[in-house]
Amino acid sequence: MWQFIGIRVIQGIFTLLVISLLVFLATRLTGDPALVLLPAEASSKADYERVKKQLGLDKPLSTQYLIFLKGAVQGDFGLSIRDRRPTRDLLLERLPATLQLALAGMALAIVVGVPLGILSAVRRDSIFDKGGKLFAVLGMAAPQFWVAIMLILLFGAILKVLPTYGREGPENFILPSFVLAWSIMAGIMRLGRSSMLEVLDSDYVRFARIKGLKDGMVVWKHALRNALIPILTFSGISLAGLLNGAIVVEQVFAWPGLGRLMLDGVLQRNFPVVQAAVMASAFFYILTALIVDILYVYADPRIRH
Amino acid sequence: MLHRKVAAKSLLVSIGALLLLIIVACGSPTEEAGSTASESAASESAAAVEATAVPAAPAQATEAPPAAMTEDTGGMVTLMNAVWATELFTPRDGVGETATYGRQMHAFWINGNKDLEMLPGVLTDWSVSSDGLSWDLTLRDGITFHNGTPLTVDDALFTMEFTFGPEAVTESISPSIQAEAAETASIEATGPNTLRVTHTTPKAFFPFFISDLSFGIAGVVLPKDYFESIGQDEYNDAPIGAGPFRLEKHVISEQILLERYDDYFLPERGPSFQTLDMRLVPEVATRVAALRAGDADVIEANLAVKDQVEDGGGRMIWAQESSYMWILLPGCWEVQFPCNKKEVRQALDYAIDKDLIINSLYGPEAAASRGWIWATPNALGYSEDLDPFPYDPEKAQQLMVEAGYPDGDGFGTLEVHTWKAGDVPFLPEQAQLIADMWEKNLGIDVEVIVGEAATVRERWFDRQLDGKVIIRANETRWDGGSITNAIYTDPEGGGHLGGRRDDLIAVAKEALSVVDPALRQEAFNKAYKILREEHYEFGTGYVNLPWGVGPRIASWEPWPVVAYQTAIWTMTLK
Repeated sequence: MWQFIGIRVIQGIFTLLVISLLVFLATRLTGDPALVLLPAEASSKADYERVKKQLGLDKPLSTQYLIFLKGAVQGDFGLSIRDRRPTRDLLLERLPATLQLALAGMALAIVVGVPLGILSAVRRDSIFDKGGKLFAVLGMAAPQFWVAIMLILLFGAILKVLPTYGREGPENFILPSFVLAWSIMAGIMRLGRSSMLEVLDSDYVRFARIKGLKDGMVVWKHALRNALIPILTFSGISLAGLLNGAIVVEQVFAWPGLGRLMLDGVLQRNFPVVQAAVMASAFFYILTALIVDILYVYADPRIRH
Repeated sequence: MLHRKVAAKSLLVSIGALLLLIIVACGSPTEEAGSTASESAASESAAAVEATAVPAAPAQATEAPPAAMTEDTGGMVTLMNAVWATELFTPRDGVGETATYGRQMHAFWINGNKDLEMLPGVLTDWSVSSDGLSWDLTLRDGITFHNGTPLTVDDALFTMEFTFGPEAVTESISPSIQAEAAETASIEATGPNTLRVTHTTPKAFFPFFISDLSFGIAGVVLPKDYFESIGQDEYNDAPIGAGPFRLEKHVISEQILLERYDDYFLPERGPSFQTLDMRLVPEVATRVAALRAGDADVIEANLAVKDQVEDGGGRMIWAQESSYMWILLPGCWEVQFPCNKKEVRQALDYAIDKDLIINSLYGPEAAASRGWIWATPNALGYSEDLDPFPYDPEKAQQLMVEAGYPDGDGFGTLEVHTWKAGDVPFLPEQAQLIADMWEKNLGIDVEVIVGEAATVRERWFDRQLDGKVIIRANETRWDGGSITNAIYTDPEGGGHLGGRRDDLIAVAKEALSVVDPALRQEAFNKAYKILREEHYEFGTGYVNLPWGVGPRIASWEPWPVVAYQTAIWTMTLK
């Protein structure tokens, strides 16, 4: 078990190293931040050289990368070009908002998606199953941006029962977390249904039923555990995605999370912010994948061997 | 039966978990990032009062007489912006959008008004030496910062040094301020309430640059002792100014909550309501929904949402001449480009039906085809004969013949680069209309490339768009001195448009050298007329900035030609 975790950690460090090089080169390929910062009022050669030096862009590329890597190892991603604040502080400021929204969205997706999937499988071709499938198709097909705006208009502007923006109280979480959760919920529901159907058709479930076990016991105790494995994988990947910031939802609901930070960073060629955000994103993915792998072991002890 | 039990169990679990989710997962996040300026201010105020003794300054003859405080009707206004820029409160970091909140919290050296006059603010008087290099500034007496400490010459000197001193050349995040600082020779106190700022080159636009008519917050005054006692980063966390509002709470990227400052030194410019709750909401559809729901009173809108605002019971208030539409022909000094010939540049201008563009895309309420680029009707240097050249396709065709491109033969494909601008709607559509007019009237092939603002600007300054056309928007400004300087006087500058011609450089420099305020209108008017004739750049007109206003707001009179929200004290509640 520990050897397995150790190997995964080493793989993760190597992956982060490769990503650091890729993101460093990619941010340089997108253009010269010094030119972007210059307004029409200050675009002389001297202005340009001054800004370039100020940003450390006058140094050779290899030196710039080593400075970035050395800082990144120490958790220092440099200063944001836009406001000269430490990029790490900007990430940490935005992280709680993203965490809250991601966890709320994920919890909603799981607590609705999993039971709906089970229900659809257990009551196959019933009204629950058909309704669930429709819900899933809509969740996957409807663009998040459109759904978000429609919900804001309906519940905020017309019915006036929910706030239209911000994150002040519990009621502020309802719309953004639902929008964020819907497509994941749909995925979990579909995956849960197919997985559960497969398990319910297996020999050991049939055997349990022949033994006279109650249906609830068969479903909840014996079938669910095996049906959960693909859901666990999907949920892990989805959660990692949410932790990297839900750009559309954060933009529409004025939610100050990592997604908006990254979007602003890209638009402003704020390369320290983009580098830091991508590295944080990669870190979250690797960490989540590791946790999911460990959870596999508990969900299916056979993997341990 | 058993299936039904399982189903019921699933539903119960779902409902319970949902309730749990709403109760538990949602915290009260506003506490964690907020910073309370008043608390920090209070703790510092006692020490600061001791440290900054008021110098014995004579009363200023030019000081405005005290006026009646605007009637306080209480209440709160929620105002939503799309962009706040850096969310810093320090003047040397005062890039454009910082004015959205900076104007509310800070006192400016010089104040503007709706007639675009420059009036006493923190300064009661300012005058320039005959060579145009030195500005003598006289401070007003009796101003207090939000922590109760008086504003003294020490604060003034410290702020000028901080904003335009040698350190600002490398430490400012704004290239505009870096450029100003690089041309500042010295800053000194010349008396108990007077300062002198000396530049290396005449800077007639200096008073404008440090006024609230400008964009950004380069002209705000800092409390020296408070600032030095906590440092720059902490100051930005808990800023103190001397403006009409004091900061109550700042949640990064979410909220700037401001409370009316009752001891504001210009009571006639004090707000009539108690609280200004500023919110950052980047998506316009959300801002409109918030206005319709009553969650916002004033929103930064755009023309595309006018009907939605009005259908929801709101109305539009237009800030006149907020942005101008700008057609640039960079790199025309290179002989291989058709635009090297003046006839081609003229033809491109004459072939555009500007009135059609304004009427079809914007309408008379939202835009007008008047002025020459940044010399809009309310700007310095404007006169009616600077209005756009008339639409004359025959003349345009004749000019193309004279240039050697009859019916566009041999012209090649003209690339037009543009982007979707936040402040001016339908810029790509406008570019396409212009391209269609050029194809139809001049017989040339035109390709419109809609890119992204930063990339196009970067390629322009990097000279990759020489010989091509850029169609963009820019913020208007009353004093176009700084942009005239950048566009015409430095032929090596990334933004240069003047054909690298000594004659035009001289024209621009002559206008910029005039420092007597009474002569500047005429000087700029003369220069603009000459530059306009060269057609290195021209425009289709200007647009007005629409603000969506909810039913609680009785009145508001934002200024023309000044970007972002202005004159908040004119806002009254029903």
